[in-house]
Amino acid sequence: MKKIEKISKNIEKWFEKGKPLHPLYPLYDAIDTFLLTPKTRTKLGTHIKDSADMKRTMFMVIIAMIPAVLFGMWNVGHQHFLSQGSDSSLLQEFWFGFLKVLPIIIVTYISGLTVEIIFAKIRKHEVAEGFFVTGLLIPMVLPPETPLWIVAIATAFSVLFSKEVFGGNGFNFLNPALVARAFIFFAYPKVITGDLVWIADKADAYSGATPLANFASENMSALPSIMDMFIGNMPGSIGETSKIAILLGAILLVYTGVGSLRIMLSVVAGGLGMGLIFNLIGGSPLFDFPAWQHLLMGGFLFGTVFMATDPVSAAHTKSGKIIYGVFIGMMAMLIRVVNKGYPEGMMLAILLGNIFAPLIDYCVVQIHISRRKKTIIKINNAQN
Amino acid sequence: MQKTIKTKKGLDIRLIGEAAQHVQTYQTSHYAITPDHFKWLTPKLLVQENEPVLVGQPLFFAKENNQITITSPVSGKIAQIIRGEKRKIEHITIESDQLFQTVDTSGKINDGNAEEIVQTLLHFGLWPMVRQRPYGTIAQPAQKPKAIFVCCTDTAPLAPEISYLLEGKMDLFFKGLSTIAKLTEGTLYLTVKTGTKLFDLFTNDATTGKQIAAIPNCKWVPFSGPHPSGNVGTQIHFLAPIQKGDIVWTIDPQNVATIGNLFLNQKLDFTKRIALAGGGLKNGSYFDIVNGASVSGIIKDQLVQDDVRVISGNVLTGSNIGKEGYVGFYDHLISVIPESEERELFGWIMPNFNKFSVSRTFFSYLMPHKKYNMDTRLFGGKRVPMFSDVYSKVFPMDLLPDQLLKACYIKDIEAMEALGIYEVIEEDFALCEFVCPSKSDCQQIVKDALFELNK
Repeated sequence: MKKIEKISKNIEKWFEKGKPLHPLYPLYDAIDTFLLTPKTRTKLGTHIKDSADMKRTMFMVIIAMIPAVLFGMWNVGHQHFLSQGSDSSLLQEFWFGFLKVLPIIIVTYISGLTVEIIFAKIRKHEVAEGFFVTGLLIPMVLPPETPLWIVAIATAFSVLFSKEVFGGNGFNFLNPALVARAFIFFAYPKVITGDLVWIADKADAYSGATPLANFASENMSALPSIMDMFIGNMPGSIGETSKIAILLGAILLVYTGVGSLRIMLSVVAGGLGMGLIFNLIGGSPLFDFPAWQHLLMGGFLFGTVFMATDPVSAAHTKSGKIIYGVFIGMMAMLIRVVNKGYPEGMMLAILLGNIFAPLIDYCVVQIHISRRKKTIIKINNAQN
Repeated sequence: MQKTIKTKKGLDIRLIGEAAQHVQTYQTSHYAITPDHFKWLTPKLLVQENEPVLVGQPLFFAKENNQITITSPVSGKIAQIIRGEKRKIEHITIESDQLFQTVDTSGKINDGNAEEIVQTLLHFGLWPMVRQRPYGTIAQPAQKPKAIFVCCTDTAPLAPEISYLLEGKMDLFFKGLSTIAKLTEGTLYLTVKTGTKLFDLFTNDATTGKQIAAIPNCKWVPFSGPHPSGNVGTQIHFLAPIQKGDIVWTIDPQNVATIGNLFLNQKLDFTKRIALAGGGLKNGSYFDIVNGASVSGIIKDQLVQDDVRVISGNVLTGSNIGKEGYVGFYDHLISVIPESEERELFGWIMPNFNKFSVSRTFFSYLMPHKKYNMDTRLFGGKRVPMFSDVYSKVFPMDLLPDQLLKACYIKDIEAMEALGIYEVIEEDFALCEFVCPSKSDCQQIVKDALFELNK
């Protein structure tokens, strides 16, 4: 460990002011603090500090995503071989998916981190950890056949226009990963829709429709079994198919307190509630579709666990989080069931939730202020 | 007695090195008064180097209000006036002659009415012991507070037990209480922590009960709960919440005894008991000192390593005074903790069973009774605060800490007022600052905002 410290110190010299590599100092700093905790001492305020920092907190999200990533890789391969109709081993399937998904992840990180480092340099900040999470979230919500150049453009666009122009990490009012997906959806609509993109190197004869696509075309008989939808061996975006893997991540997020259970439950409650309302109205196969099965389709659960809970773009007040969550759940269902043209409502529902979050918070804060005023009067009366 | 006020939110940081209950009298010839201990006070000197001084002789007055003077705690001569940048006075050091000769007190100690008491306190330099909320500055003598708080509850890390600080001084304490009770037409709140010796004394001892009952406007209120339930700000929040225009005064219990001593025995004595505690020490214990004493003699031979941080006050709100520093005017605790610059490999992912954190990303929550030897590392880089529920978990007041901090940060006075800025000072955000994974300087943000507000 002392050795690493020494090496790092030696390398630091190349990045000092006046040296040719100085423009890359944020990159050096990011790698240095990635390897070793910073040695900074407290100066102002409290002399001791809690051991948790943003790096650890953010990496918990990445760890929580690992089951979904690994399952996603296997599933990409599995779906491929399934469409080809050829036999394959588990390892073969995983390896195929790994080779398909890894480039997407690498391209996302390179594209996003380039923008991050440039801005870290301009703003004289350290590189914030937020992007490490975003950079893994983006591939997870993309179809495996998304062209890499589109991934690169979408990531750069999202980091630049959803984050940096508003002041960088912590100032974005929209979830950057979803902005990247929305960018692809609106700028390259053919890439992220249709039946061609959901299975890597699909055989032409094989139907590549996702459960949601089948749902929207009211082709309910083509839906996978409940068990398949729960386990996740079906076509879809890379990380969203396996509900088990997502729930494992959710457990870690809730347990460590990094993800808000309040938001997750509210989204699910909102989705279920809206689904039940549709069930009550009934009259068409879409309206009659059991509310709870919606949770197993598409990106609903992935969005609930990893996207809606983004601490920056979600509502910040306690009761605000509940309203925000329920709103997202309801909107997602509304878009799914009523708008046939775009069955995956989760992305737009969360982005819409992000936009409304400040308004929700504002109302909650105003209510708190007037309630506090009344409490003060009560306390004063009780004491006198 | 009023019903116990229980708070749930907060955090007791368990540090090693608590002070053992045995006390030594510590005498030194080095004393100093530090103008920075008096919030936002601009000193105007009244003495020069080498000038002889007596106990109670004014050293400087406040430019903001020339009635408020800070007096010498010892007799001897002014050794040095130490100035920093822009000739700012940092310390006025005094060489004590160990005789403690006081200024003439005859005929100047009167406690007939509020006006006379204030004049007496001002005259002998005891007035700075009375601080006000909002802002936490020295109280303005001309104002009328709606309540006065004497909190015998210190819940901060390594805090001494107040009953031990007041040992043998209970008569002085009650004399002081009855005197300052006259300063308000409202209530004098006396708060204690449940389960302490003082709480026992107040509930079970008949004479103490009578002494409290003899002060007509005094209410004593038990508090329980984790830190910061003992902070005066928290207690005011629950008992006499401050709105714009309200003034509440606060006085520390030992200072109440000092005031009592002046009115009961006509004695001007700045002696107080302090605890010396922390993981940077071999043995923590108590010392009877005179206010402003140099700590170098106390901590000598006690340090476990050379590189330590000596803090006057607690580890959350105290000030770094260095090994040659002086005991702060308002402090009854000297915390000594190890300094460290140790770097850890992959600290962001290692399980690290020996590190304390409120976050469950570490395992310290599995060992709720373990005590930690915490050092001065920041453990991370500064980031923009992102998580919205970390502060509110350690913030017992019915306010919105995130929103209030944001309003403070952008100095939006209207929003600050609506969100209850008058109820807090920086120390109320110390725990928020401690737990913040983004390592924000919450206390400084609040301090700057209050300064802006007070302009």
